[in-house]
Amino acid sequence: MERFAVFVPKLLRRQECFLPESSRSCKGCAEALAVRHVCKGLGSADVLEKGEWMIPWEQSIPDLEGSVRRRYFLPALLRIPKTGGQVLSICFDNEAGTDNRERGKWFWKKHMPAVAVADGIPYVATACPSYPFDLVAKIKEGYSFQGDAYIHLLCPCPVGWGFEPNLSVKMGKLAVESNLFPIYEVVHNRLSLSVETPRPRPVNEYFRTQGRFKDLSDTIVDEIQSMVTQEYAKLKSAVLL
Amino acid sequence: MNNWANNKVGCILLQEGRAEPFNKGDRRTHTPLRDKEKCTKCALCYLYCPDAALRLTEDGFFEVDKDYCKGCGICSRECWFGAISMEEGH
Repeated sequence: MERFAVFVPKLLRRQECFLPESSRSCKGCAEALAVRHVCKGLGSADVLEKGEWMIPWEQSIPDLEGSVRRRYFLPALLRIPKTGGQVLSICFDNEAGTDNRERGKWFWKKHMPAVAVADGIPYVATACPSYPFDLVAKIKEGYSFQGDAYIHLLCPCPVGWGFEPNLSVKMGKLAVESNLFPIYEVVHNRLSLSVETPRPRPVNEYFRTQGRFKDLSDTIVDEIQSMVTQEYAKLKSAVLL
Repeated sequence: MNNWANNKVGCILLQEGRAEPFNKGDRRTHTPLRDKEKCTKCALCYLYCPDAALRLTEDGFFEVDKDYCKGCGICSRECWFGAISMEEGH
């Protein structure tokens, strides 16, 4: 595969470890797509059987005022032990648990890759199933890497986000192209962007195609746009947060 | 294989367990239909299918396995050449 400048889907390994027989996913589920490509990246079903699915985990911390509690959720996490006692953790984030509408105020979801980097994990990457070759390469790299690895996947959810099932791949692309979910990899604190967006799309395009952002006012969208531009400029100069 | 359509109203499963004995394809409302003249065998549909329902046939085309296709329409949407159309019906 590495010999070609263009990625050829036909050369991806055709053996499926992902069993559609036991898949109970809704139609157009990008999480199922992500699991399928993770299986392709890991190689054999034996590796996957060693893995352990974690129950979504909730943490409540008191707000500054003391009375209101903010909740942070961890989405589904797959932990795969590697030889040598290290662990590859893969987070399937469908942005369902982020209770980001408390008291009519909006706040950002927890930046899990930055937490992982601050925790001292040597290999941290973000990926999206809309870019499958990038995802498969990162899973392979994370599994063969010497040390712990954490990979964060954005999985659009047609039911939760409120869009047509045939748009779920498109939605992931929109999130990446509008810089809301930049795809990068951090190896030993050195950050490199995997997908460059010289002319990013406006975030409005991403928000307005989803039912869950129906009540988002234009002023908030402008605010988010300026935040996203700022964050991306930081990533460009290889600084995470 | 059991059929989702034979279930009682509300799709209540009377026996506990997994969805394994059920056919995954029969809750489909739209079925992908391939135009073999437009298809370039690029395998992009195979790449993006969440249910792994596309199988390579001997002539090089990817055929839809109707037992697993849920009719989401991602293949039709992502095809660069417009070779896959979604037909209404099972």
